[in-house]
Amino acid sequence: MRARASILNGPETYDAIVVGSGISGGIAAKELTEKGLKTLVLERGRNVQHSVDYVTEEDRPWDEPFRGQTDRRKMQEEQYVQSQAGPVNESNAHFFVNDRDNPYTLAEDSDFLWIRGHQVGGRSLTWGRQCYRLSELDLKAASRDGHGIDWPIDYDELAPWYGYIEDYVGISGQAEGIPHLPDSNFLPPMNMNCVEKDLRTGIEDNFPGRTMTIGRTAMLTQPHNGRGACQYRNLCSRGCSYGAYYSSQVGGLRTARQTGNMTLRPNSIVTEVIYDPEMGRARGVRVIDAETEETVEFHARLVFLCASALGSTQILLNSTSNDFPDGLANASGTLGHYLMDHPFKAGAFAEMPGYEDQYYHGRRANGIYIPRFRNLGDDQQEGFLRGYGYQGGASRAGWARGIGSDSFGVDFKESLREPGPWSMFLLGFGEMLPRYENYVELDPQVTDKWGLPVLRFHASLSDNEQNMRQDMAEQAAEMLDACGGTNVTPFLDDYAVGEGIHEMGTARMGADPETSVLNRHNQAHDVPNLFVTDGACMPSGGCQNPSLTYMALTARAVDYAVAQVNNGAL
Amino acid sequence: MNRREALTRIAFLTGGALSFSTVAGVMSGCQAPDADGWTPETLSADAAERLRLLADTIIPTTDTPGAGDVGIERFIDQMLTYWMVPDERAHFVERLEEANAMARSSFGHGIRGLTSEERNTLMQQLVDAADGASRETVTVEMSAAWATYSEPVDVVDGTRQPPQLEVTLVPFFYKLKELTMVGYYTSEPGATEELQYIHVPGRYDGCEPLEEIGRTWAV
Repeated sequence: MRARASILNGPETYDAIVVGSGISGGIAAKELTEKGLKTLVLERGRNVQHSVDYVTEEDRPWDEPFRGQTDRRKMQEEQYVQSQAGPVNESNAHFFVNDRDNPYTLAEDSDFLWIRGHQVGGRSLTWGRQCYRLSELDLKAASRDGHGIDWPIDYDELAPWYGYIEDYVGISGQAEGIPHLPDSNFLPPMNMNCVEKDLRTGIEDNFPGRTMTIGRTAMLTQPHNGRGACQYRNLCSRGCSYGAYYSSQVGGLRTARQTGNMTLRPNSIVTEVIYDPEMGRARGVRVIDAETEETVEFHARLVFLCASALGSTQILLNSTSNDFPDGLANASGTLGHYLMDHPFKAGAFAEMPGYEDQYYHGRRANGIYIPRFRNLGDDQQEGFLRGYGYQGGASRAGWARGIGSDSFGVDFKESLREPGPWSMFLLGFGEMLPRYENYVELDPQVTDKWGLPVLRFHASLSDNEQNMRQDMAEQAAEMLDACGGTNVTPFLDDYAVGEGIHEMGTARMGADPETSVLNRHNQAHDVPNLFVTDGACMPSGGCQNPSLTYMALTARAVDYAVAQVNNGAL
Repeated sequence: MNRREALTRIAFLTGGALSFSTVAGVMSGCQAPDADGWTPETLSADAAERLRLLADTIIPTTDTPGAGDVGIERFIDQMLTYWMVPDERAHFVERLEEANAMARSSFGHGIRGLTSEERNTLMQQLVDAADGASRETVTVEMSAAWATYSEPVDVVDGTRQPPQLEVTLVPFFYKLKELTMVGYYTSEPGATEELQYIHVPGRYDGCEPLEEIGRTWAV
């Protein structure tokens, strides 16, 4: 179906338009409205109201028709891409897109998993919640090893914005004073279990310079900003009525709504940014209303794209004009390029003997973190640049350990009443080099149900990532072995780019307008009232989970943009 | 330590960003047997009762309900009908018939006529048969996978295609046991009477004496 040709003008002009309502759009909405700007937030998906629309939140295991796994037939028919990535399960599949309605194409020898959540709140409803600051080491990696470009921002400039966001969002964690993984402004940390505590000591004793800390997570260990503390249900991605993890629903959108300055418009698919060649600025955006199928235009002084890295880039690629035949703000020709993710699915697990009289209470939806230790200080790797961190955790085997055995009957049943052995798991997340060859473009042939060209992906790993993943597996096994693990098993599983669901790059920031799309304020070099503050802006990705950085950059960019409005420059 | 179990347990750390095959199958509704009106969709009523008895041999009634008390036959019938592809379904149903034939040849009765001791002996025969049996992996074309239920999936040419579904036909005992265990331990009696489950734990404590906690957490 193609949208009707009729073009309606939106009812009023806004001060600012925010495209997308996820982790970045929520913060953009909050910051703009708190500064007094009348702001229109456009979300392509349906509305999701806090608590009201968390329809599976109260389900017990026996309430779910497929017992917490996926409905295999439905996944194969409707979510055959989404279900390839781990987070999608029976209780949250409604927060991920239907793949038949949201196709994309792959260039030869490329693969990419594009995992999306088209609804108010976007993927902030289902994210992993892990939050780590980038450091000067990450921001200036290019200067150190010659690959790519530096960020046009110093850590010292970013740090106050990290702090500002952390105070708002609420990040629990343990201060460690590690220069290359700066501490956040923390709420009290979640606690480690006994195996994890001993492993921390073991790693520090056996591997000087390495440490293991509790995961830093946007989950509240105490009430914060009107939200409730975590109840340790580990049902986060169904939506949390306690508001214990950060989402746009309980965060940016809620605050923005309270100002009275926000208009939120779901079911609004932004097809392009409208460019005014006389002014040299964005005039607004063009939208297909997914319910009425009408095309509507909205105008504003500022346009913030927060539609996810690839969503924002797709909109810009589709915004063509005489001045910008290859996509808006693409004078550099780099729009779409330097696509990144965080390669993972390599690590190790081991049994941890002992501790048989110890167990835990509650389901902690958080694990441990081992900060990067490669290509740091004296460590110089032959096989790869940059580094990786590990997430992981220890737990005791449950009833499922009995599935593969030959036992049955009364004694077998009785034996599973006690938990099984402890095991520990380490999973690496690595930095992927930004390469020009990894990019997205508009497919020349294939369109979606709205008649819009779909994205075509050129994505593959270089030797750098392959070698790094190998090292993730080896080092994980070495640490577990040295710290008392038995049956240590390294693994190196197939990984498709995108599977980390940390898409980054494709409209990168940079000091040089010849080689980047955005300047140091996330402002398009070519279009001064256009800002992109989601993952698209990342010149390099570090190995840390990126959402915290998107939020900090968004708040910083809004501060700059509004100052420019107020001083008459915009 | 089961690798898939480890992967499952770690999934939450990454926002679940891990791709793993189902750890123990995917279960459909396992309700308390109220008998009225329920008829199996794939199995015959007779086969469903045999299945219930076999499942109860794996997890018998003790001071808590057994698998035969929690409607396991409904759940497995639903799995057969709505989750398995035709090859898997046929494989399981045929092997269930074979188990009944084994019972007849060993004891002169079908499964429904066996004493609990004879059922235990039969189950051991099924274990022995499974130990030597081969495992066959079949690849299911998308267009064929669900053809009995709905129109083949219509995916736009050139776009990222659904992956091929690879299904391993495991020996009967292991499939029966997996279905029984998942159905039982995620049922309300299995989770809350045999093991323990708290929907809202309210706190996390990483180190508590096992004797204070008691039994394995169901989840």
